Amino acid sequence: MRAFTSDSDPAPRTPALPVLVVGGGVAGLAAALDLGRLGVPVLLVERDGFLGGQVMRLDKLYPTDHCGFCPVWTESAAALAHPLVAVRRHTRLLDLEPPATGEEGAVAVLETRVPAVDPALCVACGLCREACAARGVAGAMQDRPVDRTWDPAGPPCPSIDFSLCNRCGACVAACPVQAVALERAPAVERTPVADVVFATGFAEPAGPLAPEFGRGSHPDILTALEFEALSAEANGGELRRRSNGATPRSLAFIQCAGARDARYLPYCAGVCCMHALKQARWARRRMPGLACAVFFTDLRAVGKGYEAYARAAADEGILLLRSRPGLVLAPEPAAADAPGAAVAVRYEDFATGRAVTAEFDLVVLNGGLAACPLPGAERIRPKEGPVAGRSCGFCAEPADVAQSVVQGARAAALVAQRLVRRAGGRP
Amino acid sequence: MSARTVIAVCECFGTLGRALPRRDLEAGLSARLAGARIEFFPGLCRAGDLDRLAGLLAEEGAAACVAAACSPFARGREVLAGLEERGCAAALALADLREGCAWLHAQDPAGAVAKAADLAAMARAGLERRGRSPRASLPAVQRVLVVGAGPAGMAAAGTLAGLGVPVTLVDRQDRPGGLLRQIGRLFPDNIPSQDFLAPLEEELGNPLVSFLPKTTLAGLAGDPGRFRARLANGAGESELEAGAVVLACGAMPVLPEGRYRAKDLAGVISQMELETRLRRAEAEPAGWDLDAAVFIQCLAARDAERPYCSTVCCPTALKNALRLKALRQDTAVSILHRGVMAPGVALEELYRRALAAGVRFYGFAPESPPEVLGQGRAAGVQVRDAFSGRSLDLPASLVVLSTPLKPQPALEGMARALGLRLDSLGFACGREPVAPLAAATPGIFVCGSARWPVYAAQAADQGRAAGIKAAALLASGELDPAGLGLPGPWPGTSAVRSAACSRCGQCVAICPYNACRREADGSIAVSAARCRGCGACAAVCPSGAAAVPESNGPSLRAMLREAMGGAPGVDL
Repeated sequence: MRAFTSDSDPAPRTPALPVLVVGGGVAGLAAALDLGRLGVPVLLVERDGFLGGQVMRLDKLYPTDHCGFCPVWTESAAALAHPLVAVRRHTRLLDLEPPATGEEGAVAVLETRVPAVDPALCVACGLCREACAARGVAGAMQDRPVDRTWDPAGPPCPSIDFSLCNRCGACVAACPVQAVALERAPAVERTPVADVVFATGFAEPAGPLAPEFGRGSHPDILTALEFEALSAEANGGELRRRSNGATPRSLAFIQCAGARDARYLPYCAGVCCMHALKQARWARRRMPGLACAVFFTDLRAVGKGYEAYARAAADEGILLLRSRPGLVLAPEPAAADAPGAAVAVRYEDFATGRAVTAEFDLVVLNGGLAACPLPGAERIRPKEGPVAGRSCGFCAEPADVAQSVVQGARAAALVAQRLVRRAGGRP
Repeated sequence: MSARTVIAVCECFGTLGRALPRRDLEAGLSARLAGARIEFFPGLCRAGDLDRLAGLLAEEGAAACVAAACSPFARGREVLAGLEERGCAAALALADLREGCAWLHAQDPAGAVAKAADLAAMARAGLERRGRSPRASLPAVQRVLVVGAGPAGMAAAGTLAGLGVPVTLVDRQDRPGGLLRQIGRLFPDNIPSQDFLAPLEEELGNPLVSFLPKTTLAGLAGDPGRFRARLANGAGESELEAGAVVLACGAMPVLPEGRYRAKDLAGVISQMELETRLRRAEAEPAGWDLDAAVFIQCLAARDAERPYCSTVCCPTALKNALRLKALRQDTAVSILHRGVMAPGVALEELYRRALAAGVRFYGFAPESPPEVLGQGRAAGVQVRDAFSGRSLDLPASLVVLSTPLKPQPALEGMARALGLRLDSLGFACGREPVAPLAAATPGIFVCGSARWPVYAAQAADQGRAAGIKAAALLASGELDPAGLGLPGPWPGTSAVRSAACSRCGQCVAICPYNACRREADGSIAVSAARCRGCGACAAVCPSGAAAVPESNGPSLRAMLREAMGGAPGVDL
């Protein structure tokens, strides 16, 4: 607290307003923890039920090839345990409103939607599931949500499938820790905050960015994050085609799919080249015979240790092809079940200048990553500097884990400096 | 055993019952743990049960308590922390009866009960001989040393001062700015570097910053929170106490030397030389006359000797190509590249601007590099375009060679002093990728191009990040040695018993945190501020002198004896 109280006044002043950190991924976690450790109270809101963000969905991290789970989980646990960091999960920022007259900061409009089984209370005892099964509606109580939005480090909290649930309430009665409620109205509250750090991260846009790549037209044409889930060790680590469950013989990554493309996303998403190389290397480590090709525009392995990683990928036999395919064609529906029906990729072979069609069992479309919006960002004290100084991680500029962590700390530093200036500073 | 041990079994709301039926478990535990008091609780993660257990321990005057509950990765740690919060005096240990026992052996209740008794007995046995590390008070000196005053170091120092932390900023040059002093404008926005440096310089005007020019770091002793840095300048050496150190010594450009005929042809220059010429030309555009320029990328980079991409050269070439176009729109500018490295939003936009301005891009393969033509002075460049396969003759009166940044020669020595690891290319490493700016030793940070080539804005961002991390470490006035901020008992600190120590130094060699150190008199001391309780020293110590009290030899042996209890041929 030193920086925020004067030496002559060791007694705490009126409780300081917290800094709102929007998003509990690696960038938001870094910002929240650095602020908390500095002595600044923090309100960290996360729309999912767990901290760590997209990293928790990644199998391994480049360039170390270590699992990202443990170090990020340690950070999550530290944030949850820190006395100055209040963590609100299942909560999103709807908007920012101007503060009361004479006050600094903003009023955050927050919406909390706690799921039927509150993961903050659940101890994963399973009694609700048994009670549910005993009423003859087995299946309504799921072991865990299919989208894996559980706290991977906490108890594997069940969820309720309301399409099967008959609302008998047996689970509510069975829960020893009152974690289950069938009706929970979303709670909206207005909270004054001293300042805001945006760390809302990225998402794969829902619509197909470049229709010629056929995203959504066939189960074996996947996005990068879908492939991550398909191939992750945590999900079994055994790679199967989504169409027929067969073991794939070949795998293609199409880089800049919808990105660096004036029609869709004009920019480079920065992380996809290395992400594809990581996925390709791990796929081949688990399936040594798998043929892997990466179609790239520029192989942007720009970062500490990244070039060496790309070289190792090439040395291991991953085919790196400088070419931007023009068409990805799913097999005809009739042929889809036939063994061997593969996805066709049409591209220009620069060595010969000819158009070539190659077939792959799985095709991963890489590159379409978009920043998540920053609610109310334009309303927060525009005179004090650009929003950019308050945003960090991928929502500010395409960033991988290492860059996001740095950006989070940097946003925290700028916010903390502003607070010191506002408070008259020390000394 | 005077005071009793309490085995507190958490039933996890009745869910352990299938694999560990309560009656069997109670019988198994009583048989195995003679003399212990065994108590069952519905859910030790609930405050009510913790209150009851804490009260029971006080009333019993228990010396030890084994919480037979879930693993530290579920709520186990919180159970122990909850007991500590309630002022519980007993020694505490955790036995994982849930994930590691009931869940794992759900199909084998008899085996599970036996294992549960083993785990509880081992935990109790370990506790009986377990020591407790003294909780050292580790006051932190309220000053940070920042080495290097380029954009990273300047931002780090400015951030620290802005947060109220006194800073000493040293640089081997006589004023801050680093490599930026040699660069006129910065990508992607083409702002004059002076405009970028000015606000950073203003922050250095804070009275909490003292800048020492022409000064280098000659050595570092001491511990986190109380480092003693030796600073050298022309006049001699001085010592400075600092709670934390930020290394921001930057990198330096590789010189083209003779490559691409840079020595024998006029007009073949390095990117840095072009910066100087452009700065002059932009100030005095009248005399500037250039018909054609060719940039050659990846000189002395991405090859066998320097197998890395230096990040900054492609955007620099894009920026300078646009500057050439701004000086004279009809200058033909080509960039010969091995992939245009412009990741992200702003740099890709810069690339598009260069394309729109008419800059031509040709890829080349490393095995057929371009050839510079001319006699006496550069006349053109011949290159085989990697895409079309055609051989191109590009006229060029100016050939600009992009070389990578390489580590400062002084980095190796400084990194050794700071305990920073270097990568195979000679750049400093943090704990990649999740804590990229933090060294394994608390209180040591690295930022900017000393870690990896970065451009000015990235360097300043990293400087701010390192600055707040250093400030946060010192903020409470004391170091948190475990540094994890996790609930529950800390892992303990190693100690070396000098009476048993043979001074062989194996612990010094193996300690990953430089915590075991040889003192001037040859004895070994362990720094509480550095030790993380990993136990590597205890594992290598041939005389049993080094030990972490929380997991010392006697307690580990006692646990093993319990586990192996009476097995033939086992002699512990």
